[in-house]
Amino acid sequence: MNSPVESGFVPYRVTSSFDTVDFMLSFVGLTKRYGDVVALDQATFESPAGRIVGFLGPNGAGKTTAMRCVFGLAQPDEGTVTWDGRPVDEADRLTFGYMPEERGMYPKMRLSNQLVYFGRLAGLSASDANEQSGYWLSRFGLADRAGSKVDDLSHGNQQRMQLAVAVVGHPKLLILDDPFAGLDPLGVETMADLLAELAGSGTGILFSSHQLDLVEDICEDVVIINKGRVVLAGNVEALRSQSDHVRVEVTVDGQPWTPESPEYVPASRSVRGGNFIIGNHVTMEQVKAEAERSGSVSRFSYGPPHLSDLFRSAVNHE
Amino acid sequence: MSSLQNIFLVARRDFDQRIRSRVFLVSMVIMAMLILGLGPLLASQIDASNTADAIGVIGQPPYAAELEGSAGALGIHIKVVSVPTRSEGETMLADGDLDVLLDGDVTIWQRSISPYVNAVVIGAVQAAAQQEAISTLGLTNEEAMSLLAPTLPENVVLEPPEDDAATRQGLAYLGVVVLFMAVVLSGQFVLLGVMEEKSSRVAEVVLARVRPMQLLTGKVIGIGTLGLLQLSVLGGSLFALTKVVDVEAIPGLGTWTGQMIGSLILWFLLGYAMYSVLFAAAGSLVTRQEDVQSVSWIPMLGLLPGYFIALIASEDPDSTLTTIASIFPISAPMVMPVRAAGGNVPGWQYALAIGLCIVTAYLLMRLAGRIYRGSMLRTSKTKIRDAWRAAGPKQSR
Repeated sequence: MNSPVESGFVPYRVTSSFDTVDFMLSFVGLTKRYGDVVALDQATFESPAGRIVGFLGPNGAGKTTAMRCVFGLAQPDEGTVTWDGRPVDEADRLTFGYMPEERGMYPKMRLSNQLVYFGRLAGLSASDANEQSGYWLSRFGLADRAGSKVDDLSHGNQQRMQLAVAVVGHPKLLILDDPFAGLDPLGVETMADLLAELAGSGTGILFSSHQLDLVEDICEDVVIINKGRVVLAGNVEALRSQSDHVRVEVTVDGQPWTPESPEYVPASRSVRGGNFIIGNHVTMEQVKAEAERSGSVSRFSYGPPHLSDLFRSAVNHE
Repeated sequence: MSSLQNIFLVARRDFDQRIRSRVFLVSMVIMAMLILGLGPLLASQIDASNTADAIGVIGQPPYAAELEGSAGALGIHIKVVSVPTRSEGETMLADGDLDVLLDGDVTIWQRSISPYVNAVVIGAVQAAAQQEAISTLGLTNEEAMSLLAPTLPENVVLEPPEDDAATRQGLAYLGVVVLFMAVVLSGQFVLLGVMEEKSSRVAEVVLARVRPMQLLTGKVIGIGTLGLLQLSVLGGSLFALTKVVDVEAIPGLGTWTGQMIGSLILWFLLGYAMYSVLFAAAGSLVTRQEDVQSVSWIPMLGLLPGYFIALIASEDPDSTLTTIASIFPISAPMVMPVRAAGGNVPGWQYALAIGLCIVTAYLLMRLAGRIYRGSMLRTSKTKIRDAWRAAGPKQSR
């Protein structure tokens, strides 16, 4: 093994930060229609430098369309995408990395050549592109496959390679369309670590996902979109604590318990029952009193709703 | 990064990837084999025109010097073979080793009498008789010279044949076949390359950083350079072949090669510039090998009529149809080189044809580019109409 990392020589490090860290990607009143279908409807939100933003929404909510608009792959009917306050231009796009929902690489091209090519397209010099190609292949454990073709890789390695294509060039902004899809738990962990590391270096990251627990763990901010409209956006913790709902878990007589009153809704992912969401106009004393009337309360806990609860309520209200 | 740099990067990737591909290597080997096959063919042509007529003479050849002299005067290449007996001579005649056999005053032929060889023999016999008469009469050298070298009439040809026009057009015919093959082959490479980018979905990753027209232009240039390389290898080996084999002996071929290769490359570039973008548009509509047939008619619809007219034009280079087709840009790359090989194309027509091809290439690039933009990011087979609409003026970037 004579890859840069194994030989102890790492010419390129992701930890080198950007000089300025106040870049901001803004979606401003983005509207896009495909015939009668409204893919985006006055969508307005932001993805700041150095932060990981989870971009959530049901299938067909407009996530992919919004991401494509960043790269000019779709043209909004109204609104703009701005970077640093100006509409995104081609020079900006060279500093962005993109992993589309439909993964794609040159099937017959060797990994190292492929990374060098995409690095060059991102504006790297030939020598920088070579250096980064070596770095990222080692980083993803693909150094010994540098001469292989994408076609000959396992599914997991193809995923890694696809991410390498997105990050080669050390983008200031990384747009990932469902990057965790199809990854095993270890793959998820590696990916999450890398995203945190990139964010630490100043890269702004916007990624879509359906894995809400994961998003809650990884992201500081979320944007939830439904039918093309932003229905909830902000810091995850703030959104949870500012919610006018409470997530309650009660066990009565060893059994999960829910109130009689129609005020509550079952909490998300409450397979065993006993988790419910209730408006905060109902006090916990009232709930506890009701539970105690039903039997002996062995467990009573409450807290802010989970991201998945917020998601469901935001999407259902539409 | 400038758009030129993007185009260069795309072009180089396509060139590098394909020059290593098996299809490319196989096609180069086939071409090389075709050229090598031409070697013996040319050599046999040269043999045929260079073969000396063999004249057999029984016993000590009495007329050897006269035969050589007579043949030299007539511009015919002969060799005199001494044959021991008449029967042996007849056997050689039957085997084709001799063209004619002289036995004293008798001239023996196998089947028919060759007028040229006969003239040589008659001249030689007469010269020998004269020589004998001179020595019998005891004439001086001056008297003999005036007797033997009468003033010959001067030859005037009223309609000399045009400098091997037929040969050159025959070769232009061959050139058109090569040209057509080169454009179609390179076009197919473009079509498959575009289809690969669409079906592997890599197009979305690339187009996030490169404009569609840059990707299209880069691909066309990269594969075009490869086609040009192929054509140059073909032309270059032909040229080398003509240096090894003595082509001067074949009428019209000697002056042909350099000019022909230049014309071939010029019209390849013009033809490729127009048709490659149509192949690209066709490739952008499909994602599967099975569907290639259903779209490759688009460029072929333009290429085939020109090709057929060019084949006719090699027979009749000055007809009205040929003249029009050699200027009309869609067919010009196939027809003009054949017509021009005849040597009767006014300069303005040639220039006009080139100009129209360049304008048409630009228009086709716009047209094909719009279809390409509208269909590359669609994940399935796309109708031309849908692609056209999807890439309306508002969508362009």
